[in-house]
Amino acid sequence: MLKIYLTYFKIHIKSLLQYKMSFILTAIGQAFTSMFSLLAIYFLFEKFGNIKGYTFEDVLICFVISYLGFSISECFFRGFDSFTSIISNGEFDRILVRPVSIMLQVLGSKIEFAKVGRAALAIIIFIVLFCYCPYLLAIEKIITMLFMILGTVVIFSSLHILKAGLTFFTIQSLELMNIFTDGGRDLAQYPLNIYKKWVLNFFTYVLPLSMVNYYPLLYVLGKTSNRLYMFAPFVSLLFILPCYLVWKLGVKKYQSVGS
Amino acid sequence: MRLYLAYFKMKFLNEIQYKVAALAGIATQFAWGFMYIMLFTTFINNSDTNSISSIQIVTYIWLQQAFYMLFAFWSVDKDIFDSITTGNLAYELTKPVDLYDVWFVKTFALKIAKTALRALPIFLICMLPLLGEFTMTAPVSILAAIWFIITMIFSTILLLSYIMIIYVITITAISPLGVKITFSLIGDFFSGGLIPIPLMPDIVQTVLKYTPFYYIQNIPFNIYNGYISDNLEIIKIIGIQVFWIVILIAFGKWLMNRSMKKVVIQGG
Amino acid sequence: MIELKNITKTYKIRKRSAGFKNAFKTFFKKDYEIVKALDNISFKINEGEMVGYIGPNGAGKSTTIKIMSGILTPDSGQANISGFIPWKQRTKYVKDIGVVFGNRSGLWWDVPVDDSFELLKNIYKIPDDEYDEQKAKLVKLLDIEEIIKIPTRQLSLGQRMRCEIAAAFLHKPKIVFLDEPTIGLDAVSKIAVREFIKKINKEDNTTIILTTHDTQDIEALTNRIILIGKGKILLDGKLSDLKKKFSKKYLTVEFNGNIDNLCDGLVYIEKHKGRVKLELNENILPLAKAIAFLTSKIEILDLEVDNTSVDDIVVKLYQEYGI
Repeated sequence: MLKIYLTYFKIHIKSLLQYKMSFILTAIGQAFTSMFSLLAIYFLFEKFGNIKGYTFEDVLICFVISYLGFSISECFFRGFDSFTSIISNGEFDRILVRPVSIMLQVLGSKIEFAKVGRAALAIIIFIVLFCYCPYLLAIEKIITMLFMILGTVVIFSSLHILKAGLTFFTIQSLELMNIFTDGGRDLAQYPLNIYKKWVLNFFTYVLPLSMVNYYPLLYVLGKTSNRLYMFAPFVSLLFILPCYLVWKLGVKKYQSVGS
Repeated sequence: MRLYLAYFKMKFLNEIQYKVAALAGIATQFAWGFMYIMLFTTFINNSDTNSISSIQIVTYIWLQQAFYMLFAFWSVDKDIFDSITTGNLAYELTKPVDLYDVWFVKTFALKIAKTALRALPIFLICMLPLLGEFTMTAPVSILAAIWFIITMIFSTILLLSYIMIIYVITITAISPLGVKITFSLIGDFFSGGLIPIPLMPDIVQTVLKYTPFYYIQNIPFNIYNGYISDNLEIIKIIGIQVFWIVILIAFGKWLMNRSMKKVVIQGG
Repeated sequence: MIELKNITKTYKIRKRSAGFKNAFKTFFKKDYEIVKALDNISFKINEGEMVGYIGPNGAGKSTTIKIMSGILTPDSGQANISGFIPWKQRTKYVKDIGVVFGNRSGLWWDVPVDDSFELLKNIYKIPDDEYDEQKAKLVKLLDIEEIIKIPTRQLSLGQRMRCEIAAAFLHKPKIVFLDEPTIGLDAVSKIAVREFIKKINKEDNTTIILTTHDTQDIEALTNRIILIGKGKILLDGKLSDLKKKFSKKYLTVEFNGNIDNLCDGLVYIEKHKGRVKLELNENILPLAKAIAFLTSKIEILDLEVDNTSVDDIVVKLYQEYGI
């Protein structure tokens, strides 16, 4: 399976080299947008000083993790994100005719390297953060942040799978899903407890974004020394289940009704 | 004028077709509105920095969402952009109309059409008291409402003259898409599209007062919610709006003439 | 071996009428129309056969192909293809079949065709030596040696189609479904494709199922025709039998003199002074006798004999079955 994915990967790199200009432009555009998001946060902190006890550096950690996780997910799971085109141009039929897992084929169908433009800025800030906040250099904190990033990738990727699954049932209201992906990313720029209580609850029990953004952050910032919080991101793995279920149901429906 | 109405009708009917997309768009608008309101009000309420009040911010954000398509720099006429990038531009020159005016009117019509569908529902729903602290207020006074309408018109024209310059620069740019992205991102951000100008540091606000960006969405919305209320101040502001409009349109037309000459020489 | 028994498939299509008011109505109450795409379809195809699956648009051709390739599940009925139930054992079943969708591409757009081939090699887990051998064979037969290093998007339609077909045969499938494979191709490519299919069928005993509107495809490639109309199998027989049944010859005659009346078996199609076009039914009057009859009436200056085209046969078939 890995071999097949690597072949897809090679093809996408080759494809990329054909369109070098477009890649660079898109990547720069992406980096640009995240730069402005960062600028917004900077301005707000310059004016107000802090928010609910969090400093600029604290919020930066959230920003970096959210953007990094989101861009990795967008880069590799783009096939699911733009699944409507796969269905509408008949590519899905072709996928069904190949003796390989459907998910693997959808994964391999699109890899958008340009999305790393967003991640580039985040990585730079990450490095800068480590220089200015030495307390982050503790090994458990680094591991926690790694978990947070991976957990973010899991959550956004599951959302993409969910969106693709929903495509089997309706083509129309898919833009609404973007509220959760793009919205989730923007909301998670800040620790999730600065919003209303019900927001935190929603992102704990329905979409476990707080498990990768807020609870482990408490540990990283030293607001709690409970080691358990380090592993909160693992809850995100549970979120895969309902999303995958919708996907499976969707595929089944396609096979019984056609396109 | 007839031209304008014709374009408007065409664009509007086009938008209606995508009614479900419009509904989804409105839902998105609401979600973002709530998110930003929560964020900004938390900042405001948790600090004693002298700034805009949260009630005013709530109204500002809803106005911003209602008129989102109007003031969005990135939402430009796709047909015009395509004609530039594909080089069909040369054909446009064969038509007996001033291209600048045509593009201006087209984009104007497009923006009004896109906004018309979304503005009304948002206005209606956000004024409902059951939204509690998220409720949008009515204009603070009748005078404010009048100033609001006047400045909205000037703001829109100012925005369009900026967009026209984006179009024109694109004609002779190596990478049209790059130009568009850069200029619209800058425009969106510094006109208050991501965070409202009153929430920016004082230094930044002062600098922005010397740019056209300060005079686009920032003005009508903040008049509506009462943040800007001094009548003399408002008259001065309208004067500056007109000033920028004249400059940008003049520059845009001049640049267009120059670029078109280049296009004709190169053969498109 | 392919065996279908009593396959039925119905679709629920949402009825939507034009206009703003109607769009609003259907938003709240959904009107459905039940369409029977396939109604008790049964047939058996043996290994190595080449079958033409024809019928007007909407008759149920693609639905049948989709069911046979495991993409779609039927409402009722059984299918046994190479020992598998296609839609139940998809991944295992699909290893040995190939599909060519005429108007959609299975190759990657921006990279050389060869890279798409390599991807398929990994997907079908073809061993290196088998892959090299088969690829060399296909490349030679389809004459694509020079173009496989070119990105797909730079190829002409004819070149692309030949590569698509090669791609479908890379893994030496036992059964290949071809859905309108020559659509839009120029004459040279069409011939190349037909020659290839004939050859591969002969050499590897591949079962070929071809849906097409191109009657020359039918003539060149198939010896058996299954006609489907409105979801039912209307005809399943040999092309040569069909030809005999519907076959008429056309005589275009330039002459001196007058033909007063025709004998049985000859009918006027066109009548001018000195030139006529006649339709001859060979079941009534053999060609030799027809010519003898004409010679007895007039002085023949020029005579042209045409056969019924397969096109006409198909049209007559459709007429006969009212589809």
